[in-house]
Amino acid sequence: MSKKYDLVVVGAGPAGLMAAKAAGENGLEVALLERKTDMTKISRVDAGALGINEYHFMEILKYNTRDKRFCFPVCGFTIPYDGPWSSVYGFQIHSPGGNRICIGDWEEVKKKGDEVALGISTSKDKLMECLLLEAEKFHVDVFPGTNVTDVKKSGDTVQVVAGDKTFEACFVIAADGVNSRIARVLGFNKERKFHGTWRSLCWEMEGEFPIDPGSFNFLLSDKATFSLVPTYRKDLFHLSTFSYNPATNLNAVLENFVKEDKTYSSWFARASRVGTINCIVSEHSPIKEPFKDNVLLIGDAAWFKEISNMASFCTGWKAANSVTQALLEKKYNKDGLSGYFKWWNESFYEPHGSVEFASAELQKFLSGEEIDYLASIVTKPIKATMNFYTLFSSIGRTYAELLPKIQEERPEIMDKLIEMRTKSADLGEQQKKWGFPNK
Amino acid sequence: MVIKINTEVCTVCGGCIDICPATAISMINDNVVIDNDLCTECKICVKICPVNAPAEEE
Repeated sequence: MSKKYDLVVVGAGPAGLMAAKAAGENGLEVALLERKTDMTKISRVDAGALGINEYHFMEILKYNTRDKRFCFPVCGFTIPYDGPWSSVYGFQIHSPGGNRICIGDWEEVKKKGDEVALGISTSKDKLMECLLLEAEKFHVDVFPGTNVTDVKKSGDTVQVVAGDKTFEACFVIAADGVNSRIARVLGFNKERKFHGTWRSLCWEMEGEFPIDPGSFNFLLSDKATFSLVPTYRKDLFHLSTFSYNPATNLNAVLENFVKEDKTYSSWFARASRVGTINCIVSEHSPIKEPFKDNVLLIGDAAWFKEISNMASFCTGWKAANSVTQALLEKKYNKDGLSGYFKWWNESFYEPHGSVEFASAELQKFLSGEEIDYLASIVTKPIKATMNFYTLFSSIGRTYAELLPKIQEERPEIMDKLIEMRTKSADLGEQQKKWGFPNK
Repeated sequence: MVIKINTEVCTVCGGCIDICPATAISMINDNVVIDNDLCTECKICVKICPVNAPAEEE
């Protein structure tokens, strides 16, 4: 048995690196375990975006371009970022025939530029590298290439098992991501609602961004939905599609869209595919009290879909400080972390914990022409935000106001929207079944 | 039959490592590796992989 740590952090993504660095800064003996050997290389879909324009999970963000630091004034911490970045101004939803709904006022963006930016795209590799350097500066013991297989409590300490190695600590922070193995091993998922497994495939494309710079786009063909997202590099963008259905050949869907789509293939005519990345998200409902056996689950490990980089940093920071406080008070249990649970409940669980996103596979119910119609009736831009909870409710409100118009002009579309709503529970059941092993 | 990862197409996103109910998949030297002694051949990894990296071999 090696030395006993105050804290073992599992996972060196934004939440884990933040937690390890902050605990190290407080003088704790910290071990950071990560299965990758190069933890600054992000090998899955991630736009590296941080939202800045409104409170989300009770935090707001400013990038200090002078000192090159992200500042989180509510929690009260900063993180260094000395890398490339570009502004994000809003979202656009494009219909199969080329109509669009703007979330963000693009005329205003042309006039005001960064003054109306709502987020920043970063190089996530660089962001992780900046955090790792700080963690090392604060004497965190970093163990790359470490696969955690089990976590067990014995007496007042927790043992983290990684193959033939075991790490011992007073507290463990599990920051092992949206599909958290630790959440599963500790039995959290039994009490969570399962919504299915979301498979996403992304082509990295080199070439000029085909639509307004700084826009995150959802492109709907009459068959599938795509996202088109800029990166911090002007000449590199990401085109993705996704499905819960394991029979969907995502690569063929992308190939067909880029080469054959009558409305959008021209957007990609001069771009070339330079790489493939992907991600898998197993969706379980958020955890109300993310603690068991002296293991605290933070970041995506305790949430539903992906929480946002910003929320990961905040949970990492708060968790590290709560653990420090518990150790100072010699409370090696749940009571010691009561400050964290209070904050988690107020910022996360209470306002958002039971929100469910209905799966909106419009193409299953509506023709391309009908989706074009629905996109054409939103004539004014919707307020831009990178807070997905606000974003979806704004879109919902906009359409709620338009329902009388739809009923009058296109009653058959209204009938289909009602059908979509009544069938959403059945679709949800199917989605869930796809996420289980074949019997 | 065993299931193996085709490293030619695997993007090392790590999703199957997390989801494997038998904890049979690990990341070793930044490659995804299945421990066939632990694998129960449930094939959930085959089902969920967006790039079809896990494949059955005789």
